Amino acid sequence: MIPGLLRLAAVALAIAAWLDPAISSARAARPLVSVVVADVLRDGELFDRVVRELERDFTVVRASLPAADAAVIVGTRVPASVDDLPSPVFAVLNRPTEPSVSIEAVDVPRHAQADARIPVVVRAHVIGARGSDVVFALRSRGAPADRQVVTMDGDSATMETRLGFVPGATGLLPLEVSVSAAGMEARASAMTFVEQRRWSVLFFDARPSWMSTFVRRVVEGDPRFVVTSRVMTSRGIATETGRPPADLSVAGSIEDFDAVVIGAPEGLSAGDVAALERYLRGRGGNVVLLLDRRVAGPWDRLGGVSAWHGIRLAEPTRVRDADPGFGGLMATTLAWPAVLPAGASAVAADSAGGRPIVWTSSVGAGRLVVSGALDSWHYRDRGQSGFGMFWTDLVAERAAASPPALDLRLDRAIVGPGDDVDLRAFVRDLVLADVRRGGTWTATLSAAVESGDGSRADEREARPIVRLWPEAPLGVFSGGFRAPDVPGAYRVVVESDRGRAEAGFIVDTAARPAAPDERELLTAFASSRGGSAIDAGRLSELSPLLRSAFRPAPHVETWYPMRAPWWIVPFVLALGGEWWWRRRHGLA
Amino acid sequence: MRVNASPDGLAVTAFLARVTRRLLVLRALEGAALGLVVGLTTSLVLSSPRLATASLALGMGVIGATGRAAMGDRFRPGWWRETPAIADRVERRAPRCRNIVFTAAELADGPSAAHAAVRNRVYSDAQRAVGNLDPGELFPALTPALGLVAALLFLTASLIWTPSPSSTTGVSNTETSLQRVAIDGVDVEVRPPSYSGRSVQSLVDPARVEALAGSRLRVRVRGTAAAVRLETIAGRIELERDGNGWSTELPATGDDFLAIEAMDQRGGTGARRMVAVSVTPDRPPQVRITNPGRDLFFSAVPDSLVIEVEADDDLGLSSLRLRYTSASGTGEQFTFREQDVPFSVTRRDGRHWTARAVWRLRELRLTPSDMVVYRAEARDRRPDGVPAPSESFVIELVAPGAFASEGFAADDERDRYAVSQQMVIIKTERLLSRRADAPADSVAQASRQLAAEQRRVRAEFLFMMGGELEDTGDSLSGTLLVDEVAEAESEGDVLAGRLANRSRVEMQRALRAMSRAAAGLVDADLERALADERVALDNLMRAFARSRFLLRALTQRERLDLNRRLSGTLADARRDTRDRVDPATEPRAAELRRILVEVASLSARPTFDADASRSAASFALALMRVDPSGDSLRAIVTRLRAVADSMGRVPVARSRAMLEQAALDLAVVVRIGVPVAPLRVRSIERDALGGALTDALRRGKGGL
Repeated sequence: MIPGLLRLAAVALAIAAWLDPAISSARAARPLVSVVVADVLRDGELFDRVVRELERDFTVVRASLPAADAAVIVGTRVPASVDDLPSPVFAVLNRPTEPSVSIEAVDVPRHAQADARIPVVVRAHVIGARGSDVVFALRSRGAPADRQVVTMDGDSATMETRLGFVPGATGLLPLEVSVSAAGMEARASAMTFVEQRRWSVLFFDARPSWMSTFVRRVVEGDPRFVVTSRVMTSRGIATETGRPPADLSVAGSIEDFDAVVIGAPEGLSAGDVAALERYLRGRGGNVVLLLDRRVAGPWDRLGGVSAWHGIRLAEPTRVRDADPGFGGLMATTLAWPAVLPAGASAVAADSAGGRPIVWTSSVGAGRLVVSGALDSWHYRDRGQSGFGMFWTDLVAERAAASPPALDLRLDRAIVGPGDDVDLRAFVRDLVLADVRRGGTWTATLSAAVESGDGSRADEREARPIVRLWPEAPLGVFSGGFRAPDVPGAYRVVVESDRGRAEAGFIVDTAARPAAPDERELLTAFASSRGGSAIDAGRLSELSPLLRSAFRPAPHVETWYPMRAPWWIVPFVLALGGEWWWRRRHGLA
Repeated sequence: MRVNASPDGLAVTAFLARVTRRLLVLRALEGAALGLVVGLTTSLVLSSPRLATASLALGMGVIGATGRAAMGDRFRPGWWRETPAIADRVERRAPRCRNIVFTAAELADGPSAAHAAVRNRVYSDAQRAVGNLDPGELFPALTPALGLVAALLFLTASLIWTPSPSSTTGVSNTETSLQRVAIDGVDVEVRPPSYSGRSVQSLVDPARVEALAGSRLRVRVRGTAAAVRLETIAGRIELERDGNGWSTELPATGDDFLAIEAMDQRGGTGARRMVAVSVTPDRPPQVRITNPGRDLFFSAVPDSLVIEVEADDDLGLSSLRLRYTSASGTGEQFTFREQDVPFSVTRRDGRHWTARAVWRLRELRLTPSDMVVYRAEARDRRPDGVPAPSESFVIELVAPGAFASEGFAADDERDRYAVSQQMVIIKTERLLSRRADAPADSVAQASRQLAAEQRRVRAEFLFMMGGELEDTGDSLSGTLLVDEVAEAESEGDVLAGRLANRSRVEMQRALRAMSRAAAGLVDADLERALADERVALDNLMRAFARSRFLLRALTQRERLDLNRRLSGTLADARRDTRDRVDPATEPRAAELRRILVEVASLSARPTFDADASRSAASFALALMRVDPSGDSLRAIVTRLRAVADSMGRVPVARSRAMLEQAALDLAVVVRIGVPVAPLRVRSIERDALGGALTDALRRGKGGL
């Protein structure tokens, strides 16, 4: 009996192994949680703690995974891969250590001219350094460039300081900012692209105007500008500098100028005004109107002002700009809109009445600036007012904002080796084209990554050329590439039939950008994705929160028992037992 | 070594002890020679200074001698106690002993089962054998001694050729030639000009020399060099050999620097010293007529006039005079006479004098319309100094009812033009005094007439200055302003520096004050008008302080330029095309930027060698060349010099910190006047969106 049963079991196991039966069952799987961090250097320790905490109850993936059941963001910054995160999203906010110093922002122009002082605005958060000197230091290519010391009054503060330097060379310029206080230090990297390019500015006076003349003289004295001018001194007679257009209304005559300054605008014809509007809307240009008397004319159409006020004061009043970047003007005769047009804003207001004497408004993608400080040129002496600085800074700002025929923007300027970098290229003609009129637009673009010395990084590292794809709206092309593995300065060069554009980036393992504190943004983001934000001190609450936020769906699982090698054990036991039995009873 | 009390055994033992001592001495000599050589070689590799070289070599010699003597040939400490081994060495040097000395040493070294007779026999034979041996011959000292002597000679030569600590930066072993070139000290003797009365000043190693203009600077350099070169703004000269140093003498004429370089025979430069020279000019004397200190107009000549003068000088006065020029006559028949007025001088000290004169005016026999111009003149002790005049004042004997027009030669039509600013003031004062009693409308009428007179005076001056007569439509506000259009037209002259004339500025201020006064008179605000009239008069006085004649105040270049009058025929009008002129790069700014880049690059170097030291010194020199007297640069120059001098003697981190601070200080200077780049990031998307929003808003309001 027993040998028979054992034999039968062995045979059954052999048959089952040959058949390989499948068994299905419904069971609740272990939930999958995606955990990401934006700033590993700063929040890496907390990240590890969060992962250890979650690994008891969940399967943790340390990356963005859209298929995960939930996501957890660690730190105080929103990660770049936020679009790939599943819902719900929870955030574990890192508490600032005390004392600590952190650099939240470093603002530096993407492009700067070699003849200008490059401003670097640093915002830092300092905790626990009451009474200490906070040292803001700037280094360019490893050499010291600027240093400022600010004494801290309170226990903690967010401090903003404007550093600056005059570049010694052109090209990509890596910068390093450090903030130190009470023995602590934080560092952040930045980059700017120094060019020899000069802004092209046209001065066009419909009649001789002292206002325009003196603004032109201060702009001509600034090496950042190339000034072309035309002053109509009489009918058919003009005084010209450079090669100005004879007539504004000739198509394409002012397209190449970054800014156009108009003196005595009341003398402009309707055709001139229409040409300026085309320049503003179709080119995204910048027009500055310098009034020296308030006379109605076709130009009123540009600003959209229906009524004006004017005043003549016995004593000159100061006209100050809202932005402390410009100097102030002095004037006695003022003109300003009775009601500032919709979308317009004041550039400078008089100190007495707060009236918008110099104001600006969008006209299409372009920008119009109107000055109603009619006799400010009387007070142009440097000791009296900031006449020169006001106008050079204003014209410089407008010229710098003028979009080039082809523009290029990278999502980051400081990257690590192998990081993904996204870029967008803008073809001005297409972006500003009036698509409602219909038509066909074409553009051919090519992009490549070059090292700082001009050689192609893709040749050196066998990387593919950057591919650009059109996206909405018209004229915008996007692409991406992996940053080279070799640290250094690189340029992305985009060429098209419209022109050429460059943008620089730095590959550096040690470099790190400024880390803005985005706690509030993270909290709002988590709430919008069905989760919440908790403080790092409440980490033990994270698992219950996650479990309550989603119910893992049961799923059918199929398994094959005979594919496991363990069936060999009972099989051998059955055969061996049967043999032993027979030997024991003398049957074998 | 245990030896029985056998005389032969004792003799052998004594011999072996002598050999042992000799071997110890020889090993010590060898060790000392070897140690010296090793120490000297190490010192040369490290380019150590003289003292360090000697210390290292001698130390290594002592260590070598001790070690070699202690360790022996087989590196076994205590080898000298092993008598058989010593005997073995004797046997090797004297084979004729046939091993008997070794046997004796073996027997004596420890317990032996040998019979006493045998032992005595061995000792006896050994004693005979060693009796003929001399340890000096067996182990000669010549070779070790020669080695030691050679090492000592090597040491002596090294010490002679090793530079002293002060002359080396100690940064490179390839700079042995330049390390022998050094400046030990710089003595500067400042000899002020003899007339100054100041004593000679001797300075030792000064960083800065302050001297009076005209001083002589005697520069003496001490050090080690083939030649010494001195560079100043004027150029480079080689100093003359002077005893154990070099010297030269040069005049102090303006702010300068002394860059002193020591050179070797091949012309290579070594250490460098820099001295800033700040020269203070000799200020001319200041002389003032304190009484009466104003122009005087008499209808009748007074008997006498008391005149008081004050003069002072920064160094000392040498003379003081009161001179006058009288002009008498009519029409074109004028007679001029120039003479001194006798007076008594009181010397408070050598630098401050006062004088008083009682001038007998009657003796001049002045007649109506005669004029006397008087002034004081003071001289300081400068041999080539010119007299410094005081402000000149006028004494005029006027015709009844006539007043001189202040400040300029009046037109003959006195009724038309000769209403002076002084007269306007007098009339205003009179009107003020009778305002209380007169009707208000009468005062206002008189005030308006005065305003007209004030404008006429102003117009007269404007015309004399070559400006346009102001004629604005608004009579109320027009007088508030100087003719800005005329001023604007002269902007080119201003930019060219042709109007950089103090008198011109004062005249402009007077004109503006006259404008305000006229406005006040129109408003019948007599107090305000009077204040402005006096301001105008003060400015006029300052404008003509050096000369009472306007035509002398105007330069040839300030003549009226008819080409700027915009006159001509319309047919000649044509298009004017001008070349674009790029702003000139200021050489000073460009040079400062270049030096900043160099200093910053230098600070980023990983190490600093002799070349870095020379670079730092050359940057300091270049900065001195840019602006020898600039206070902002002087501190940077000092810092760079300190870096250059201390490189190699202080830790690299300290040199770097000093260089970085110099670069930061220089960056501050470079930034001055440089426009700030816009910070705002351009975005065509944002701009297009903003424009679309604006259009939408305006369409909603019926705008564009």
